Amino acid sequence: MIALDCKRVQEKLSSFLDQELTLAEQKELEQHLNICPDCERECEKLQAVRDMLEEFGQAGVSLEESLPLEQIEQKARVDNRIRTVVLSLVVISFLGLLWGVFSYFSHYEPIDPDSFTVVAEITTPFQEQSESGPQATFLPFLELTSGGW
Amino acid sequence: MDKVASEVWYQSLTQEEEKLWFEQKIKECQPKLTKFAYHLTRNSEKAQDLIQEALLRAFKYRKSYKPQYPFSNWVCTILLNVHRQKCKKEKLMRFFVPWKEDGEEEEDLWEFIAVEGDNPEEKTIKNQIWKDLGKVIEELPPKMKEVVVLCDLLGHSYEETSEIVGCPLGTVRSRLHRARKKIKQSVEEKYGSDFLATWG
Ligand SMILES: [Zn+2]
Repeated sequence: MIALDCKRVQEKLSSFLDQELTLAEQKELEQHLNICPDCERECEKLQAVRDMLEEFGQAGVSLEESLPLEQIEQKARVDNRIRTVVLSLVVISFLGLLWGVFSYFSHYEPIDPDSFTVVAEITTPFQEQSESGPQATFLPFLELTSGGW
Repeated sequence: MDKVASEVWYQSLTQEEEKLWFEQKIKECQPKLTKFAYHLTRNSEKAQDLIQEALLRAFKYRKSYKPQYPFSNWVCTILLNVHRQKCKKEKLMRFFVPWKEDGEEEEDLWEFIAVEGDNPEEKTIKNQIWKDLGKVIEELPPKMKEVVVLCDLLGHSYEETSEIVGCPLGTVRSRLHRARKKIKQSVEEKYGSDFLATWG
């Protein structure tokens, strides 16, 4: 019973410290903290964290004088122009690279040794045939026909 | 009725007057804005970029500002949105260009934090604590960080924070509590469990 209560209380500690609870809840928690040293210690630690953060937030950040609007607009315009130039350069070089890679691979294909031997295997017998073929087939035919006549 | 009241602020102004009005408003909330940007980015250059972009966007959409809300909170909302978009872009960049390191950019915020007090030794210790604390906050999940910066560092109420962050009050409550518990844990790991008891 007490353990469950402590868990519920500890979940609400931050809101309790920020006074972001309803009055009834605020009172309920106060009563529990008075009788529970564990929760009280946890509450003190969270209070220290909260104080620490508050002090950190108040530590000064050097403030530059606010730029007049026109100056800001002008600066943004220049920034935009630079961004456009850089972006187009990136796009152009990427396309160039893509083109380079593409043309490299499309030229590379015929030099591939595997495809070369395949081509050689297909073409050599055909070429031999075409050189001797007509004679081998045509002449016997001539002989045959001429012989026949 | 409300609608008329909220839209009326710029109707009677010329464009030149609108600009002047805007510049005046910006001047008023500049300290808060600067702090917010610095604590979100922890980098002076990034913070300046963030402020610049947020102000440009604020000016562009100035007519959507409703005078019943504080002007600074409205600009903070815009700044936070710009910051989130930039973070998304950075994440994407890191995915495609993972070898790009940006460790050098960090930790320049600490030149801008002035530590009060005369004792030089005390100053050095405080500076170190602020440095560590800044790092702990930076390493929080982004959504927890937003809430801690708005509530604890800038002193906004839960309600204001929920409006700026764009989430329910209960979510602010639980995120802030979880963030403080994480910070407490990190501080105790670094400085020992008695450190917090001696604070203040
Ligand atoms: Zn308890």
